[in-house]
Parts: sequence; C-alpha cells; structure tokens
Amino acid sequence: MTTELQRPAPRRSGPREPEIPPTRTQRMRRRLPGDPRTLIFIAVAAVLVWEIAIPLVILVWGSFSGARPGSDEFFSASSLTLENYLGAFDSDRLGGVLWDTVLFAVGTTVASFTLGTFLAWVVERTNTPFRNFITLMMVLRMILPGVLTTIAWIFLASPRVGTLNTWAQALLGLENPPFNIYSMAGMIWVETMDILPLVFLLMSAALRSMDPSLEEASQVSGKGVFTTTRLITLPLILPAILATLILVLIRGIETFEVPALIGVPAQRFTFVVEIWRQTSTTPTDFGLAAVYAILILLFCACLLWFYNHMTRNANMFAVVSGKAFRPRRIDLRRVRWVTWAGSMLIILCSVGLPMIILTWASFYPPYRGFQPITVEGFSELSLDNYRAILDQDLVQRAFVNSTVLGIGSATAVVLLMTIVAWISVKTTIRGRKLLDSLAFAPIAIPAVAMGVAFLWLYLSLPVPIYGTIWILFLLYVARFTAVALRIMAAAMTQVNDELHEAAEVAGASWVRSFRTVTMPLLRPAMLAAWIFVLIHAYRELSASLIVYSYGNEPIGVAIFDIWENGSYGLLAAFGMLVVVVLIVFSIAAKLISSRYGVKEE
Amino acid sequence: MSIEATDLLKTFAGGTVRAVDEINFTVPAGSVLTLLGPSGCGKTTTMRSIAGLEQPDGGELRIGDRVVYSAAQGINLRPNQRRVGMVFQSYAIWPHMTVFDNVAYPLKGNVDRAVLKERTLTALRLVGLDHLASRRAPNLSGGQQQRVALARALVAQPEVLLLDEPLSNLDAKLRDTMRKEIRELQQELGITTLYVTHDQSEALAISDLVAVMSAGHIVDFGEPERIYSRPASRAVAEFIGMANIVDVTQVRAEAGMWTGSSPLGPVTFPAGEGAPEPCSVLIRLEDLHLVGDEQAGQENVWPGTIRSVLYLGSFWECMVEVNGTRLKTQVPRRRRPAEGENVHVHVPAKYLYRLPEAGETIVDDTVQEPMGTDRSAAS
Repeated sequence: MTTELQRPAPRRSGPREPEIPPTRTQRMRRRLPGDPRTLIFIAVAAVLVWEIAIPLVILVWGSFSGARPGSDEFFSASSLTLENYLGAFDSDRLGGVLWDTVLFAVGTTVASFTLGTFLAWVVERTNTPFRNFITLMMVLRMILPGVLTTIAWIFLASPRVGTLNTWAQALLGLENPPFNIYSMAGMIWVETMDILPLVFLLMSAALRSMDPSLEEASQVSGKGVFTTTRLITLPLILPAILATLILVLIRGIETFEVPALIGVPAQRFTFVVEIWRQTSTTPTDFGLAAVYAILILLFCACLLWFYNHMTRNANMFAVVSGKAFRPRRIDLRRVRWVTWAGSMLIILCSVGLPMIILTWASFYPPYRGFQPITVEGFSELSLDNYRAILDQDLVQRAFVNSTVLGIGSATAVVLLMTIVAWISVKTTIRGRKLLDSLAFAPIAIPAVAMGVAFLWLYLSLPVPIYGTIWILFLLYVARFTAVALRIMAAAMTQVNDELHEAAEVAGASWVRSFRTVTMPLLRPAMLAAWIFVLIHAYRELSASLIVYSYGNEPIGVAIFDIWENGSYGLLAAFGMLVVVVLIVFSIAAKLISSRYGVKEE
Repeated sequence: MSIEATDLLKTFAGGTVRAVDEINFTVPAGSVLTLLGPSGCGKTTTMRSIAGLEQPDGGELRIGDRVVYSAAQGINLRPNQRRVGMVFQSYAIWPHMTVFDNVAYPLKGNVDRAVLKERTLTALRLVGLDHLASRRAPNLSGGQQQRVALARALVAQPEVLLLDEPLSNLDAKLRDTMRKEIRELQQELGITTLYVTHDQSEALAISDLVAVMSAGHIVDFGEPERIYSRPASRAVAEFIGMANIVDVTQVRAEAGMWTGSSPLGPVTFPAGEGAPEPCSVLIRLEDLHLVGDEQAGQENVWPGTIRSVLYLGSFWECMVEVNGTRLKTQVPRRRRPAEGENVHVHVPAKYLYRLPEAGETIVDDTVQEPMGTDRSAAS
C-alpha cells in the first residue's frame, strides 16, 4: 500500500556514532562571502529589486510629484506635492469610477465563480457525460487572448450588427435588439466568460486534491450527501473557495480588454481604463493616473495579503496533499443529462460562439465591413483576409516581436524563478521570505500600473531603453514572475532534500548536485512554466499598450490597432492565426511534458 | 449480526479487470474475519463494497438479515443507510473539527444533546482519549488519530465494524499495542468485525477466521492456526509466514508414512489419501533445527553448511545449504551459529506438511502437541 512507503523509517538502534566536532572549514562555510549561494542570492535579489521594487517606488514618487516624468524637476524634492491626491479626491469623477470598477469586478467574480464552480463540480464529482470535453474546452478558452474574445462578443451582441440580435429579431419578430453588449451587464458577461477557465482550474484542483475518505467517513457515519457537503466538504474547501474568489476579484479589477473595448463606448469607466486614458490621450494627467494606480494597487495588495492568509490556512488543514485519489463521483442518473446540457450551454457561450463569429468574420470580404451571419452571406465568403494579412507589415512585425519577447521573457523568468524557488524552499538564507514576497508581488500589480511605472522609470533614466523592444522585455519579465514562481515552488517542494544531499555526500559540489540532480527533476515544471509564460506573452495587451512604440508592437497591440482602424475582416483572420499558433504551443507543451513526466517517474 | 457475501463481483476498467471475482464468505456474528492478501488482491474493494462506498457489479451482500446490496433484486443501500462503523487506512480524521466533534459526528441529529455528549465521552473513554476531547484533530499523534477513528466508528453502536488496514500507518511498537487493544475492544463489545490487512502476522493475531485473497479470489479460508500450519496451496504457504518448500519425487508408502527422494535426500512425511504420488512438502522455519552429528543418517536428518546468519534478538535466522538447496531455519539464541559451519538439520516427520495439489480439499487435522512435550530435546 502506498502509505506504507510514507511512514518514516524506524530508527535503527545501533551503537551511537561518536559526535565529531565540526571542522573549522565546515563552520566557516555559511559565513564566507565567497559562498556561491550568497552571491546568487545577492544577484537575484538585485534583479528583482530593479524589476519590481524600483518601478513601484517611481510610481509612488510620481503620485506625489507635480512634474512630468522625464522632465528635469521630476526627481527634485521641490516637485513633491499632495495636489494629485487632493485633485483626485476632490473630483466627482472618482466616485463614478470607483462604483463602476466595484460593480464590474464584483459582478464578474460572482458570475464566474458560480459558473466555474458548477463546471468543476460536474467534471470532478459527477458522472455527467463528456467530462473530458469540458476540461479540454476550458483549457482552450484559457489560451484564447481576451482582446479577441471581447471583439468576438461585440460582433455577436452589439445592438446594430450583432448576429445574436439580428437573429433574435428575425426569429422572434422583436422590434428592438434584445442584447446590448455596450452596458454594465454586457461587460460583466464578457469578462465572466474570460475568467471562467481560471475559476474552473482552481476549483477542480481543490475538489480533486481532497481526500475522499474524509467524505466517505461521514457517509459511513450515517449522513446523507447533503449533510456531508454542508458539514465536511464545504468547510474543508472553504479556504480554496476564498482564495479563488480573491484571485478572481483581483483579475476583475486589473483587467483591461473588456473595460477598454466595451466599457469606453458604454461610458462605464474602470480605474484601469482611466489610467490608460490619462496617460495616452490628450490632455494627459500623469499625476492623476499615478494616484489611481496607487489606489488600486493598495486595494489589490490588501486582497493579496488576505489570499496569503487563506492559502496558509489551507495548508494547515492539509487537505491539499499531492496524493492522487481515486475520484469519487455522484451518480446523477437521469439528472446527468441536465448537467450535461448546462455545461454545453456554458461551453457554447465561452468558446463556441466567439470562435464561430471570428471564423465567419475572417472569411467575410474586407470591403463590406462587418456584417452578421446570414444565409446569403455564405456565398460571399473568401480567403481575401488571409491573403491580406500576409502582406501586412504590422502583422509580420507583431508576430516576430511577440515571439522574441515571449521566448526571451519565458527563458529569463523561468531561470530566475527556479533560483528564487530554490532559495525560498530549500535554503535557510536570511531574507528568503522577502525575496519570495517580492517575486510574488506582481500578481497584485495591475498590468496597466506596471506599464505606467516602467514608462516613467525609463523615461527618467539616461539609458537608451525607452523606444526599443528592451523595455517590453523588462516589463514582461516583471509581469510574469508570480505564476512562474508558484509553479516552481510547488515543484521544488516535491523534490526530496535527501536526493540533493545524497549527491553532495557522493562528492558533488552543491552547484554540481543542483545541476545534475535538482534541475533534471524540476525539468517538467520548468517546461510547464516556460510555456505558460510564452502563451501569456502572446496574449499580453494592457501593459504593452502603455510602453510600446512604433516598430516594436507585440500581437495584442497590433490587434488593438487594427480594431481602431476598423479593418474587422483583417483582424479576425489575424486573430485566427494567433489562436492556431497558441493551440500548437499548448499541444507541444502537453506532448513534451507528458513524455518528460513519464521519464522522470 | 453476521456479514454474508454471495457471489460478490466488482469489475473495473469497463469490466476487463475483475477486482473481486464472485467471492463467497460469511463473517459469523461476534467474530473477526480478516481479508488477507497483497496489494491489489481485491480485499479493500470487498470491504468498500460492504460499506457501500463501491457499487458491486453482481452478487448479494447481507448484514444480519438485511440485504444491503443485491444485483438480482436491484437493492443498493447508500453508505449512510448501512449502519456500519469503519476505520479508514488514513483514519480520515476531519481536520477542521475537534476530537470531540469528530467522534460525536455520527450521532449528530439522531440523539439529543445530553445523550450525544454522554455517548461521545463513553466512546472516547473506551479508547482512552477522553482527556483530549477538546484538542484540534491535526494536533494528534498517529496512535491518537487511530483511536479517534476507532471511537468514531463505534460511537453509534453499529451492527458491524470495518477496519481497513488500520495499523499500517503506525510504527512497529505502536502497531503491537494497538493490535492488542483492538482485539480486546472487539471481544469486550462482541461486535462482528471485518478486518483488511496485508500483514500476515497481524491477521493471524487478531482474527477468528482468515480469508486469504489473491487476484480477486479467496484462495484459502479458515482459522488462523489451520491456515498457518496447513495452507491450501503453495502460494498461500509462501504468503503466510516463512516457508521452506521441497519437491519430493519417487514417493512410496512405508509404515503409515510416505517417503520419497528430494534434493535434500530422502524425506519422510505423513501419508496422504490414495496412492503415493510426487508432491511438495512445507517445512516451517521453526520446525527445522540443528542437531548433533551423531544423529546423521537418521530419518529427515540432512547434512549442510551454514551460508548466512541473521541475529533477530530472540533467535538466529540461518540459511543452511543442503546439496545446493537453501533452507531457512531458526536457531535458539544461545547456540551461536557461524557462517561456513558444517551442521545437520532435522525436522520431525510429523511436522512436515504435504501441500495439496490443485483441486484437492484440505482436511483440518492440525497436529496438536501434547502438553509438556519438549521439542528442543531432539537437538
């Protein structure tokens, strides 16, 4: 039995080895300044401070400065003022923005948590048919760029040309279009569909990692399914539920695509969109942008603190163990077709409809603008858009830029975070918790705020980085540390210390044993983190939008540009191409990691 | 209350793997039956089917006179309707509750508050944990968790008790203590108990009856003493305790015994029914001992050389090579054996056991030692 192996080996009762006092070199080792561990710690800490702490400091400074970043007075103490804050709190605009942001974020959180948890429960705990299909669709939805799905929903449900509207009007004989995407409800709906896969993955992990014997013990004790759920299952996954809610809430606050593409025409402005507008459309107000950035940053930081608190509790409960349990499913009998239909409807809305409309738009002739799906329209379909994008300079440039940025930042982030995870999990170096927190902090920094901070930092510094692709590279590295760190730290915890120690005992230096033992064991996790960062680099929009300049636009910015120019057919064809590339990446990742995964076992 | 399984069938992977292959057994009321076997033999699946945690694919299960599962009648009671107490291998102590709440859980909603408190404390006293009632469950040692699980299984006075490898997560010393405690508790309460383990010494110590399982079948069923001394097959003999098994050919009847030749030399053993035929005989380690050279040439005395010795505290375990065949034997701790020593080994003919061939039934006529016989006198 498996648990037999986990029992600590009984202490061998033999004659006790006499204790040898540590030799002089052994005692000195930790304190030597030449210890490679200390040097690596200092190097990594310096990189993280430069990438994460300094931009935050600039942002805070900028919120108190009356001068424009980049100007000579920006760093002088005389430019410091409270005017930005006073101005922000004095304006009646703050109330409206706050209200819209909260409404949008909370609405999205509630809706996506309900639907996502339903799907997770269906997949993990019931015998609903086609469960694997649901998981597959959620993974696919995870990699679709938000800017594309947002545009797809505008195509679907805009009042004038939305296909859902024209169809509903034709079929039901309605006088007015039933759906208006340009509304708070529309924003919440589109963002819900976007966040859904995240909720699904987090909640199914929580449901999966719970020891089913805890529930079985309740059933054997004479309690039915309802009582068991109320008294055992819910309290045990409560920390996971709260952690998920917090992460989703942070996402709702910092998201950009939906508020920018749908919120602005609907006249519903969130903080993130306001920051973007104050820095990129005249008249700009950098001070106000900084104040808004600081406000949401503080709020997200509070949520993050609460999240850490929750996940710590979850560990204390030790419900989340790495052990694989045989899934315990509820036999829904005939009700399973109801849960099946519900799941399929959600999948249709989150993946099916957006992909159908994008495909349609990509084949629709460019000179006609966008038109809803009609039977007659099918005769007009052509490959013109696909031919056109191949000639587009912007499209080719964007692909190259995103690929370079993606591979570069993924490699840098994974190497950096492997070291941070190792320091944080496996060493006793003082300051390791601080390092860990610093690398995890970007999860609470809205991308737009990060973009603004980088913009100001490199505008102010006399290094020729602004206006080149390097500023995007540095920004991407800072953006993606958090998730990579979580993946690497989880993997690092799984690697038993004794494996590394055995190599050291066998005569390898610690560098060598790290390279020959620890690293190979971590390879599957490193690969997973690498692909994750790569995919997210391809999807990045909001931070890039702040710092890009002509010639180094990544894909997200290029799509945004084409959208503003109104070349919808071109945009759809470009989008389809991006989706195909992302799917290929994911399949490659799956293949490689399953192959490595088997090998490492 | 007895537990009765009839033609119990449970398949996995769409019917291709028959984890429990139409087995039959009865646990008589008030006794302990152990399902014993290696991992994957179907013992845990059988127990989980009785608890209602797995739905079998065929057969019938009864607890007392209640049918709890029947494929023919389409009955399948939910686990909470079966009135069983169960201790899980991982104990499944709910980490978000105190010890008291864990144990009181099966009673909640069924009895009023005062009775609940009284009975929970009684159950905790039964396992000697009443002083820890308010302790949070994760702050317990392995042995304490085990006791909580036991108290929780017993608090609602179930009809039967199911124990799924309850001792496998404990260290060796604690395992011995808890084994004794569980047996005493079971005797005191007189509760019908089904016990699952892969540890043969645990099974022999705790059970009234043992069912040895392999690949979904019960391959031997009987009292522990019979299973140990007269196993149903070579596989069972090898699984239950240390065994030397010797193949014997050219068997002939002689003075009420059978004698044949083997790699060891001539072997004499109790006669079987019918005509003599080639067979395998079982020599338990503790029945084989070293004798002085003067006994050379006598019945079942073979010369050999000690190849390895292992000191196990109360005795030495030696590997003696006889004509190229290796035999394991136990040597009293005061007779210190040495590697390379030339010795003679001996086993009294009546202690040899002829392993039944496939299809042969075993007769339960376990050799009983008359009181006062000193077996070591022979050495």
